[in-house]
Amino acid sequence: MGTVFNIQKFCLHDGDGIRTNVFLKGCPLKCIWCHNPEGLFRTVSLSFTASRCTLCGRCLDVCPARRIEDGALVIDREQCTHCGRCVDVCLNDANELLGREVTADEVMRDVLKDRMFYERSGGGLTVSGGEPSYQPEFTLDLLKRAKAENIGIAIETCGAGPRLFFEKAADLNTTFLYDLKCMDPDRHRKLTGSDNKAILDNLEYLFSRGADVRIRLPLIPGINDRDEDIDALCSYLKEHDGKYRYAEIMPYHTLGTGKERKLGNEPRYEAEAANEEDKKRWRARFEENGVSIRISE
Amino acid sequence: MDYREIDPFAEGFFENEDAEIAERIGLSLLRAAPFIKIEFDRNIMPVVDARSHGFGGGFSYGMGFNYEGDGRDDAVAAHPEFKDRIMENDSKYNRYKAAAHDLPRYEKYSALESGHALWGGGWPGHSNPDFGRIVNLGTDGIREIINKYKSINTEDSDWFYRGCSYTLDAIDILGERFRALAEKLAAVCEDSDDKKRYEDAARAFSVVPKKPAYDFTSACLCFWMIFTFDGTDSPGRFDQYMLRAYEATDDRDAILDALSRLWECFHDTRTWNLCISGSDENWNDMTNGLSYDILRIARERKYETPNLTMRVHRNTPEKLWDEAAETLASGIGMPAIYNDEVVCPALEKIGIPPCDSHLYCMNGCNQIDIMGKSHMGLEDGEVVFAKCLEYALWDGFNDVTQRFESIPTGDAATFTSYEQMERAFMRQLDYITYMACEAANMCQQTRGLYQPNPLRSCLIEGCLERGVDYRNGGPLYNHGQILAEAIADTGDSLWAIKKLVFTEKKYTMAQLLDALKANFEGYDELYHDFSHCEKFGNDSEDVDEITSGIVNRFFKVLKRNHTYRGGVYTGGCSPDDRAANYGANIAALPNGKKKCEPLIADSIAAVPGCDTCGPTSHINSALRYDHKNCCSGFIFQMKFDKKVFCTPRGKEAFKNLAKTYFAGGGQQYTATVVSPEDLLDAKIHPEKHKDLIVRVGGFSGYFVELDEGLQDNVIARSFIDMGV
Repeated sequence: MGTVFNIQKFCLHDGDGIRTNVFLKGCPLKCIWCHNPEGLFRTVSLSFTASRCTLCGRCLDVCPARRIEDGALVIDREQCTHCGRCVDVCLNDANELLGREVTADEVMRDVLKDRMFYERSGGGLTVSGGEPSYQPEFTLDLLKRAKAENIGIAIETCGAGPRLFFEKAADLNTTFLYDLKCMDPDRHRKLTGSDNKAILDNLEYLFSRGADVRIRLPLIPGINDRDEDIDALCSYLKEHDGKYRYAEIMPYHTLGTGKERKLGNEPRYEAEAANEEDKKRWRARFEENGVSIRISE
Repeated sequence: MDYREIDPFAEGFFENEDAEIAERIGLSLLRAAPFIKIEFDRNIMPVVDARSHGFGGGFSYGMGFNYEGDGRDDAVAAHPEFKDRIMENDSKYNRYKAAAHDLPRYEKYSALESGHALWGGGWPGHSNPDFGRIVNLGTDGIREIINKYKSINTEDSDWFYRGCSYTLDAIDILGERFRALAEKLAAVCEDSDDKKRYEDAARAFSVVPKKPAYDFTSACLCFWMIFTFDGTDSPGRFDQYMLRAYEATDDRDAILDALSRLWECFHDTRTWNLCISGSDENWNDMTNGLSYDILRIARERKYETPNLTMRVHRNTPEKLWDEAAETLASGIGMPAIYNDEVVCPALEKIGIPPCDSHLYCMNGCNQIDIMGKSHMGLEDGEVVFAKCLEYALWDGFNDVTQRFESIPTGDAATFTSYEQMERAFMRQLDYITYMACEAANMCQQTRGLYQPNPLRSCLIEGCLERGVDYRNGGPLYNHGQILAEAIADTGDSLWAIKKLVFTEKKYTMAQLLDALKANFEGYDELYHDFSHCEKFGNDSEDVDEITSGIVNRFFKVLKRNHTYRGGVYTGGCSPDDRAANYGANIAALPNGKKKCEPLIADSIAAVPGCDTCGPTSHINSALRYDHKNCCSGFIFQMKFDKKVFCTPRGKEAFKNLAKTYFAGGGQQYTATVVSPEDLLDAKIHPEKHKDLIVRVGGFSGYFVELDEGLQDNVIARSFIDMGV
């Protein structure tokens, strides 16, 4: 069994061809800009969309953790047991439980519905999150099953996971979409809650295995895109040139902040999405360093 | 009596009132030919303006007499007896229609039509005459065909052949007039490019239309003259019948000049449907240089007409796919791509042999026709599935018009099983479908007997060969096409009933009917449950099976009905330019559609906004229909965010989606490329988005010109977040 919060079909940007992304709950890192905050914890989360709420009060009848205060519905998140009764009674779809326990069988049945598209396009399954290595056995189970069905397999990973997981995933010839967030260990800890030693170790292990690795660089304007950050990334990339397929910048976007609020949290980081100026500057800096770089569409 | 000042067509028409109608029409064309208004338009292309004459305006679509308000009132007043003679003929030739209106059956039909359940036979329809006959054989070549078959068909068809011969003579006269006009204009033209164009035209018309065209320019001039004379319908497989002339021309500039002038003409006249590429019966690819030139010019000009369609099959070159993706990415919503692998077998199922099924092309919005060999109705009628369901729920009663219009199928409140509900719906569907066919046949008969079209008889195979007019069963294939509307709404509704009333037993039929009657007012929970049932378009097997099941039933019933012209009825789905109008006349439905809400499903796709699992799931659902049962267009389109579609990855994804859909048995696929912001902004600031083209059902239209209901429909229609 694994905990999944979304299965998204027709993904074009997370590996080759047309893919289905399976998002697992739980992540060892806590990046302040996280764009999938519903994946941060393994436990079920309640997402509440205030704009849909009409204050009809139906959920108050079934939930002691809720009250209406100053013309707004207030949820005492501490008291919420994620029983889901608010979801059942709401007529406006304001409540949603994220994260359900599923078997690998169930997931694969859904994933394989799009087999025709994978075969035509060279696509397949991408396990994402959260962090796939946070549910290592479940992830490996999915990858194994998908491989047996002859569809492509990939994971999107932050790299902070047990070595054994990466060993086994590499045994399956998985494609690794591997994040590098910051080269400086202290700042890495500050931004993500943990240093980057294990991440770099695992990455170098994958390099040594000759695995299909594609580096992704989530760049957050003003946070990890200073010149010295980029220079450090560049020198690392240059050192390992030829060991990865390509490196790609994932420019910061603001999808995460709205999701944070729906989960009842104030966003830990909020800013304008990266703009064309940022991208121009990044591209120039990488070029100056002699590193070829893609910027995600 | 000289009626020329009123209408040049009238003289010939009254010349021999004892003759058969086909001969009289041919003669009226011949007598009018020296006087019909002709001109070279702004593109220096020859236009026969038959429509500026009351009579001529109708002849290609059927004989019509309408002089009201067209500036000829004084002339008509000066000849009081003229109107009497017109009226006398009008009643003579429309007598069948008049008689049909008295039938009790017609009353039943007309109640259904005014209840927005169907329509049938309301207009004569499109077809694709083989313009290649004129361009590649010339009128002399067609005369040879006439002479050959006239001697075989000796039984009482001389008058038909005379009508056709007169028509060909009229065409020669028009050609000669264009030659003289071009010479005259060339002499006074000061612009050197235009002067050359006039000179080319003068030279061309000394050969065409009597003899075959000798180069691409002469072929285009000849084509456009006949095309306008015929009434600017659909060019059909232009890249095929123009190929001989295209290949005979070495001068690339001349080709592009002629093609771009012609493209402007298509735009000026809102020409219907032009089809490129395709396979022959051995699956050899028919793509040629002209196919690519056409895709390129469509991309450059970004016009919303002609409706450009492209045929693909197992041997379609990758380059054509790439060019098509490129053209779609330009945002014009074209070409619509059709799959030979499905269309040809579908046509073969109704008895069209492979040698001809592979000649298909599209006409009008999206209907399928056999180029130069058929009169397939296009379309003969339409059936609104959701209205059939409404009748089934209300025992024949229309909840919008508040009338009993259809047959009684039982009080739905007493139904105790889903099978009863389904049976009631199917009976309504059978009946409405039958009535649409009947109405179409009544009108076909009127046209067949009294409104012949000798020009099309000359250009469509079978007519001259059999000695029978185009409208009367002359063409080789005379099938009919009835289109379905509101498919997914009906499937979703039936599934909701099955699930909530009969399987889960959460509500009773009586409760549901009360809620529908109240338009869900005061039934919030019931509304929520019904509107949140699984919907078609999300790869959900149960609801997809019901939806495809009702479409299969529709096709099965259609094939049991025969056309007056001598074929069987087949079906397809309607383009959704009409959907909003139908939606606005449908009562509340169990899928959560509110009473008179215009938003209903687009063609075979999901109800707008209901396909929430992305394009691959939507495609999987659409593939649960049997596309090989459909001989009219089975339209399936998706909307892509422009900024993503325009990337190499987006184009690749589009190709992969289309190819997968086709490999899975899909018939037609196309993509609209617009951003949601564009659309929303266009609604608020139409003046800023006059160039915004969206594809609606089978055609591309300017978004700002659509009415509000349809604009909302387009906006709500499956937005595809390309995996962000």
